[in-house]
Amino acid sequence: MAQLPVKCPSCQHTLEVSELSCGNCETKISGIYGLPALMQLSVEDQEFILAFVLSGGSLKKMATQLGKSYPTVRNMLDDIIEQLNAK
Amino acid sequence: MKKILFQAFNFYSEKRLLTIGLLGTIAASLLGFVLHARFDGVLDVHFVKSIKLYEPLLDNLINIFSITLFIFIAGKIVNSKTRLIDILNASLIARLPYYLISLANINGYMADLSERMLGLATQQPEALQINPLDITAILIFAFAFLLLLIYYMYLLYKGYQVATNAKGALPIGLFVIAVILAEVISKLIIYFIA
Repeated sequence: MAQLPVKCPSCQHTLEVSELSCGNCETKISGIYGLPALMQLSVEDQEFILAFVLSGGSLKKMATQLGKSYPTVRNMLDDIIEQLNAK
Repeated sequence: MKKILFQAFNFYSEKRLLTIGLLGTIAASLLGFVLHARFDGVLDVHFVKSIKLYEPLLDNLINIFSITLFIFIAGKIVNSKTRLIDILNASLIARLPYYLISLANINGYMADLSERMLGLATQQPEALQINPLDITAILIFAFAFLLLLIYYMYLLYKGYQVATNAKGALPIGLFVIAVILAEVISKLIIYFIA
């Protein structure tokens, strides 16, 4: 599946959603909708958050699953938090 | 191999690092005893004529305590989430390759050489003549010492960086200050206790 672009290829500004469509009845909705903060993260960071939630929010479990040390995984989470706070 | 040599703190659990660090420190202290090496300071190693079994181990415990204490304080300033176990592991693991410098004193060669040179330099400076073999040995020792010291500091910084999520200039400055303070304090403690 194609990756959802979040940055404008011309000016690097964060993209907005301007059209939504129903795959069933082909209804189309136009407007200007901001992308949710989580969707503006990189795919790797989104996958990290998904794995974090699925592991019940346990960084120790995450560290074991990813084969990384606890502080490394905590740093990854801290970097994501920093990115989200900056949005 | 790259993971073990340069990124151990990114990939290995704290339990594994602690076990390797403690066992390695004990083994290195025994090696220090056998090869008459005193680690009398966080950044120091000296070869002596006589040594007691407990001295290299006590030296290393004091050094690890000093470096852990000051790096931990620096780490807490950088990031309040810094854990003591991660800093302790960095201190233990970073020193392991550095202990290999003891090997320079196999058969007491470096201790004899430094004693001869110091004796000549202080009592008969005019008679100070060093043969080419000794110069080569000193150069090789100095080069190996420098390499191991750089690697020691590299590993220590990487451990500190992972433990604190350090970014920017401030953590580097605090790290340098912490190492200098640890060196001073460890030398003082070893001088008065050991």
